[in-house]
Amino acid sequence: MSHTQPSKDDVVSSLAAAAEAAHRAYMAALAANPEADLSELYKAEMRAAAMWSVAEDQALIADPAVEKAQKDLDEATKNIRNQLGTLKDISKWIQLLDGLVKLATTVSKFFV
Amino acid sequence: MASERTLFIIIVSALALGGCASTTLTAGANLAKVGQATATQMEQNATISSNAMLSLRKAVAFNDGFNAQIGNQDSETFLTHVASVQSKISQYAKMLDSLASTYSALGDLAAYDAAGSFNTSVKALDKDANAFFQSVQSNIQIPQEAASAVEVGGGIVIGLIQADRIKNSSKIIRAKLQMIIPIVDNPKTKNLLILNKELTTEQLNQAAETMFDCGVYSYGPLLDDLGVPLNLKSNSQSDAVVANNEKLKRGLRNVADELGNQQIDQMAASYDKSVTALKALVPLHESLEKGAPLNLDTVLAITSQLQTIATSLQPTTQPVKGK
Repeated sequence: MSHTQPSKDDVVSSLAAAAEAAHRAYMAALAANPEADLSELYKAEMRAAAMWSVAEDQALIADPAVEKAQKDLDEATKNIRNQLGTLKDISKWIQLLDGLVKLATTVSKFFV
Repeated sequence: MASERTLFIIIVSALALGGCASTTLTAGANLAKVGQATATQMEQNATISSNAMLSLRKAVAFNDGFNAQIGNQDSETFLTHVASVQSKISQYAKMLDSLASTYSALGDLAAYDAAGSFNTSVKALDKDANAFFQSVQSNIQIPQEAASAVEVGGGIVIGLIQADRIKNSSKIIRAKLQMIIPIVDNPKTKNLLILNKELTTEQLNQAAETMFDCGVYSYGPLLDDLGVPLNLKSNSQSDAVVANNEKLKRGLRNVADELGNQQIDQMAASYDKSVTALKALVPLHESLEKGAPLNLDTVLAITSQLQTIATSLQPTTQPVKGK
């Protein structure tokens, strides 16, 4: 099975989409729990934003594993987006964002 | 008799040439005026974008503080990236400022013998354009020696010499534009200069929406804006009604989000329009150099659009404290 190396712009877009989903998760949690401590969600949001911004300034290395890592990240991003209108539980949001950040970290390792 | 005829021919020729020279000088002055106005407007639009990024820094600072994350390393990384984009935009604005000065010097050249001033302006433009190219990781550099092509000196038929200088100066500016345009038109340059739309909006909106959710702002301006088609205005009870109604708050939060998105769209539109303006200046230079009439309509229309965008990017109202 042949693998196509995604372009740097494609992978950076996936990181940007992940950061955007993390932000929306934070905002959804804030709207549902205005008085709650959301610092863990905020940390995850900024982690995702930082990974995106670092990748923008770096080069993507050629590695067949990039495609799979990007696909996994896109799936997690999509899953978060699907839950924006329904999920209110902060602990579940934290769990989802932790997973997202781990996948984004895997993707960001392909940038140097 | 023969010498009288020769003299007559010389006088007629001189008058004809003088007429051509006068047309070139007028066209040069017009192009200089339009070019300067365009470059100045482009520079102002770039500066507004840079100011919007300062707001972004403040928003991130608020979000950090609100979430007890002052000194958060990831926020610092994000802001470092923002600072790097900001510095590129400043260099871009500086190059546009130098371009405006070069057009101003072209105008001086059309009015009087100002070749020295023109050469100095072109050298400054070269320097700032090269610094900008470097900031957006382009290997292209404008050769410095091209900047001294307009020679200083007098002559018997001053108008003819000035017209010739105008044409040479136009060629020089056109050559610079033709080097600058491919760099600024490159999507990679645009990506470097315009922060990712969503992520920028998000941080700005997050700060505003958090405060909005906490009831710091009056909902009045948003309500009034939405009420315009039906000539409806908020009243002294509106804030209390919205604060106690989750659906209304959610709807207004979404409107605020949309407004933020529009601002970022305008930043990108402003950049695209500036590139279009630079492109539209090139055929004007070609017309001037050929002695053809200048059609300034396109450039004037683009400059006016840039001005409209600049106005929409400026904050129009002070935030209202309320509730």
